[in-house]
Amino acid sequence: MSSGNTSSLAEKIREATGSTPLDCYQCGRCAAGCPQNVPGEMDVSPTRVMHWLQLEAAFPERASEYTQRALGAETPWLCAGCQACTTRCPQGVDIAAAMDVLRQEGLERGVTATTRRVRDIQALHRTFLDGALGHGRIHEIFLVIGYKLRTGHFLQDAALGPAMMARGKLHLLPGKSADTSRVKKAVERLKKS
Amino acid sequence: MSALGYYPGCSLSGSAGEYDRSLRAVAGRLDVELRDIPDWVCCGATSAHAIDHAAAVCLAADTLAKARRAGLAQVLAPCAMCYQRLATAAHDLRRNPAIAAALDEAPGLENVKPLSVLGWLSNGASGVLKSRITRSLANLKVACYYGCLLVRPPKITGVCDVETPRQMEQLVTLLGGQAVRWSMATECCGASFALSQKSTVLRQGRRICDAAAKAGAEVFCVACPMCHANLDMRQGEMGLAQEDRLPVVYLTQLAGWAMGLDAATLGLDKHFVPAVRALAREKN
Repeated sequence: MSSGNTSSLAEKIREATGSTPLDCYQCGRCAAGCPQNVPGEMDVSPTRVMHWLQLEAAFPERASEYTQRALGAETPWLCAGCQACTTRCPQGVDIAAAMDVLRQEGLERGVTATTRRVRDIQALHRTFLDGALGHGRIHEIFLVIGYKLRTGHFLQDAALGPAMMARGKLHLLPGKSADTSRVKKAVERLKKS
Repeated sequence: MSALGYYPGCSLSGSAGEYDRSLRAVAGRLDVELRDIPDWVCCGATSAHAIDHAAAVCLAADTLAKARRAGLAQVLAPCAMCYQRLATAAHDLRRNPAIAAALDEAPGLENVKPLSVLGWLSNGASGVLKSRITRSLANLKVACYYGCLLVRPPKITGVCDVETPRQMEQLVTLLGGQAVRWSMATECCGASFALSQKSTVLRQGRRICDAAAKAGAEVFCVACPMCHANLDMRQGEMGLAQEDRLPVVYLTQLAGWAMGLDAATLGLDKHFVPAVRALAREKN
């Protein structure tokens, strides 16, 4: 396996995580322990995604095909972030963090999967992060409403809300918010550095 | 009285209020003063690191900075997600000096130490804890459920027996309970998909509940508000009949109960699957 060209996804993952999918020897431990690598969930196994990243780096003439496969898969979006793969990889590849990189690269290049469930998952992350950076704290009822407005899933868990409220678990009025101007400035600076 | 930085996070300020209340009550009994991090912001949770690395690390590092400014060397983060994000930020700060620079912070921010409830109770506090027990758990059979982020990945959490952790079992034993041996203690419950991919949480939740029941557990013990919400609120949706549902209690509620605190103080009356009866039964 070549060391990879400088713009490969493998190289971006190395920069971000300090580990590289090029070290993967395809043992399958990540796939075996992954709670989402089951029928009906991930479309391809994490082991296979690691292999595509190796092929992308090793075959420049066909790189774009493997880039598209890795970034266009549902798998990075269906990763639960449970860290079992990262913990168990005998080669020290931080697979869960690699999935973070694939999601972010896919979004930046506008080439992620576009299935309904991937769009739902993206909508939740966007709503959550906007809430965190905008108000400094997540108010659960606003998160749910924001998500429903983005996705149109108005009836999902409709019975849960009143049951939670009856137990004092859902508050209609927002609690305190916190000032995020310092964090937002730091995020912009860090992205430029 | 010793002082500890306290980062309640969004869940404990909302739907997991009983985790916050029981933790504060237990800290009081242990003579630990909890000092809230002034003006804390959300850790960013799964969503930040899923789509924006810079936002994820800055949100979490901001809390470490506020703790340092308040003179707090340790930050107790009861939510497993918050704990994991703060610990990951400390790890990233060590690798990348640009993060502290972006926040206008002097170096050394990574030396502020995030603590999980499990780490807090099993290391520093367990001696005092033992001396405060007034009501034994009477061999209550407990499935200790760690989930993912309290233990994984070990390079962040420092847990060495990552596949078979024992800290929660040791604490439950100390409190007079009986920790069952079971297979799903560190399996993921799928919490980050509670809103966006429900098939995951129902499948994982059912597998976890079935394994605990098979091992003879009477209650789950958890130390994560997401694990709690998933397991406590959705057992009906998982297809479990009323009589087959297992109560899910926080480690701090179990500890508080063993210290003689009452159910209302600990928020034990706030759960979907009734928990008080399981704890209050006479045994021995």
